[in-house]
Amino acid sequence: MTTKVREVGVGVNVMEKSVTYVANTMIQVLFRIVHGRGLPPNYLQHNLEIIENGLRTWLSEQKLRFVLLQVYVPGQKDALENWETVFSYYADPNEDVRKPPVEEIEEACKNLSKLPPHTTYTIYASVDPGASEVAGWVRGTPKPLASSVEKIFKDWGFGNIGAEIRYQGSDMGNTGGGPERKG
Amino acid sequence: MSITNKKLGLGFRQTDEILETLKQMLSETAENINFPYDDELEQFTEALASELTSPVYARVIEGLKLGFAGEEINVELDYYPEPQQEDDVDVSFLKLVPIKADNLTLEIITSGEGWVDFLGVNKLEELSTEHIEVKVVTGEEITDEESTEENSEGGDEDDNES
Repeated sequence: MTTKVREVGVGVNVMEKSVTYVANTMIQVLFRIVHGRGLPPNYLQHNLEIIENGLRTWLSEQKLRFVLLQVYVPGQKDALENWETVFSYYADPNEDVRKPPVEEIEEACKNLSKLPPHTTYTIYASVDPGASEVAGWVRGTPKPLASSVEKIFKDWGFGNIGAEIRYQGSDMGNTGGGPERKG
Repeated sequence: MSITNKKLGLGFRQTDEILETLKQMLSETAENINFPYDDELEQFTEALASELTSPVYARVIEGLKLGFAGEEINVELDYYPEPQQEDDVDVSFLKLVPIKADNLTLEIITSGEGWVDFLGVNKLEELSTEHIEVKVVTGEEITDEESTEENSEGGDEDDNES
């Protein structure tokens, strides 16, 4: 009467699990930031498949350097906030499942100033040369960031891939920077 | 009355696989209870999977509760399982005595009220059909209820109580 469904086999390698886990948790973190900062979810919701395809492709190739969620007011020269997640790749996999710092991010968001009306965001990915093209992502350049404080959150990951996110903005910190834009 | 508690480890599965698993769970439940409205169920599960896409990506669905003919199946979704647990995941936990029921209820447990509004999770209740009722509750509401009622432990293994 019962049927097993798409069971993940024991033979699936650690790298593939690492890619899936980190891609899943990266999207989860993006949702937490968007929700926590009171930003509209539409952009993220409408591009979920594209974002997931990009993350999975470039994590598999180990060419994804960082993902940037940049917060800004359209028409203004400078961005308001950067939420940048940097990825690390390890030859020796760590079998511990390390959770993303979603509670810490939510708490930090509560302590930030309310964003101005019409604030929006764009998601960028910085990749190494030779990374595959992924449909739906286009080249672009983030705005400069005119602020000076930052906060680094606890890292997370599984297997061969680790991730660490830092906030840069007017309330807590800044280092600036401008990754190549894809998407 | 029988209560079945189950934890599904989903951390190493893509969202489309998770949605497929949830659809399969509903399908198996319907088969188990000889639910007679196949077309209604199929349309419902497709619509449900579509509406659950963003909440599942956001990992704000904490669990599901299926109810029929006095039976209850509680499914906790674990997004951070150990890899070994993930390998054992399947939905073949409906070790129920075949029972006939014409109505199903599905409670969708979310992380909090803020997410219900943010991702429009409350719209899930609009998917209710003549024979399938959908309710959206928050984890906080469940916690409040459990503070006054006897708690049933979930776990990796099936946990049937009669």
